[in-house]
Amino acid sequence: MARQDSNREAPVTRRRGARRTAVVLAVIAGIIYAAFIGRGVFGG
Amino acid sequence: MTTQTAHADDHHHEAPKGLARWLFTTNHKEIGSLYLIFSLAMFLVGGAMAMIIRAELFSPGLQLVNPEFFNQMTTMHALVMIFGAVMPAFVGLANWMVPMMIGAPDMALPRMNNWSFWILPFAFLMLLSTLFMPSGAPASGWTLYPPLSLQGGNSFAFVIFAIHLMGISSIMGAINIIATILNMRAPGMTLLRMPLFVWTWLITAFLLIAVMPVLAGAVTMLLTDRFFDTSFFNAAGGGDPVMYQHIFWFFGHPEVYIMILPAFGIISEIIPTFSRKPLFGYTAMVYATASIAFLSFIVWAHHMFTVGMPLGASLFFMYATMIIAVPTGIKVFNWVSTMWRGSMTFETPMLFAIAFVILFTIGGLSGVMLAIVPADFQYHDTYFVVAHFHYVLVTGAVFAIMAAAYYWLPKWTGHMYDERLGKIHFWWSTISVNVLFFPQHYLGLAGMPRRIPDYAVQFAEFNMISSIGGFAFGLAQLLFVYIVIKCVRGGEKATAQVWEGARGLEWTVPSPAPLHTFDTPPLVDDSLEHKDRLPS
Ligand SMILES: [Cu+2]
Repeated sequence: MARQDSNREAPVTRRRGARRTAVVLAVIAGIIYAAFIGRGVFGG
Repeated sequence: MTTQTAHADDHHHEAPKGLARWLFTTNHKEIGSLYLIFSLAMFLVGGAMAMIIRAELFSPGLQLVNPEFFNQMTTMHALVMIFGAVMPAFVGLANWMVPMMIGAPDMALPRMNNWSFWILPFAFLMLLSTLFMPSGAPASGWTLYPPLSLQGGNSFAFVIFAIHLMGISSIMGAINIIATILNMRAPGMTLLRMPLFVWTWLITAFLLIAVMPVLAGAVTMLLTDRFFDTSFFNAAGGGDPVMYQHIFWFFGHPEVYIMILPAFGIISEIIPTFSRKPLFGYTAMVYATASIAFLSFIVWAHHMFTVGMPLGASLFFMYATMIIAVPTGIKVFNWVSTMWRGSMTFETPMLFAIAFVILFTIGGLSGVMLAIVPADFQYHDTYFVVAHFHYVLVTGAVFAIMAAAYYWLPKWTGHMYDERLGKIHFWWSTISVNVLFFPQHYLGLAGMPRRIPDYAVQFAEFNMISSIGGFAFGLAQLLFVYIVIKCVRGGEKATAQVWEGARGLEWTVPSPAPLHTFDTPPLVDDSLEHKDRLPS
């Protein structure tokens, strides 16, 4: 698979680590968003 | 390892030209440039709105614009400057500098990086287009407090969507920066060897991920209240308008630090360079930044003292806010101590950095005044608040961005900027910005409310002085644009190190920095041979 990224020389393990970091952070952001809407729905 | 060799040969493939090159770029330097150009454009748009505001306020009475349009100007000026000028400028600087500072070949997620940027022009096109819609741009102030914000026309839906897009862009940018810093550092670039700009951005990125979803949640609820008959903030339907203010400021206060922590990082890079001394108290700087970030989550209700809250809550938010002065004081102390007995020179970046230390501190002191609950009942919603946050955001954040631009322009373009014009820009800006904002302290203390197109005649003189300062400051920024264009087009050749006292990996690569840097990670260690690779 030819990649167009300009970071193609980065070791594969580091790139995988970066993806894992990104997924975890995106999930955290989603949970915070849901939590505050939830506060609006269920809050007094 | 096989993947590495398989890709080594496409290193010199033909890059797309023209528009496609910029649309599809995944290169951190090109995306950094896009962010910076976009931010400069938004700075001029938001600045034009500020000129309209100051022109209307030049003398009492209604002269140029009708009050409804004036309210649209104050609201849009804030949204454009915060989300369009200051934040993208810092993201652009991070894109350019963070990979080079930690010895990484690029950002960790280059294609997401492209998305983070290209969402922004569409978001702002949508936001600005509301100015031409029948119901006009939002006019309730950038805080969009209900019920007022819900009483406008249908263009509100576009505003909400634009804010959502800006939020998504910021979150993706922040994720990329964290992923880059945590996964892409060169061997030996331990966390406590990272330049302070990298540290402050790492902490800022965590703030962004924590609070941009909060803003998104708040405006989503505004959207459903306005268009889908929910009653999150509608008291008549069992909702609570004050809850909006709590949620908004739980985002809003950390947002202030999102706009100032990277500035702290920039100043912590520039002062050691032009003092030719290592930064005083590096570790203390890191911990102070983290403390400020933590405290930013427990002070939000200092924006709401006059809304009414239990005495215990008022006291908590007052003292929590005042405690922030401690880590901030540590920072100011360390910057001054770095300069102490240093071999200082005063090139334009250093001038802006020193002005930052002095003028940002004025904004910090008026912030402590505003934190005092009984005093805040007098200051709340007056021009004193306007003066306070413009000292923090203009002589703070914007001055730091100017300092950064002068500091790194030679690295980006390969040319030195015109030092004489840079100094003129500095002195012109610094004098006019104080003429612009300092009188607003007095106006506020005398009781002039913010967000009004007309005012009582006793406020006339200081408003006129402030407007004259405003026009002069606006004009000075056109000079800045000229200096930048001139530097991009040519000038004295810059060396790799650029500044005599500069230390760190970004100064070991040639100027202009080639499109690809650190394809092979540099080794960072304590050896004498590599001492220039360590940040000062
Ligand atoms: Cu605050």
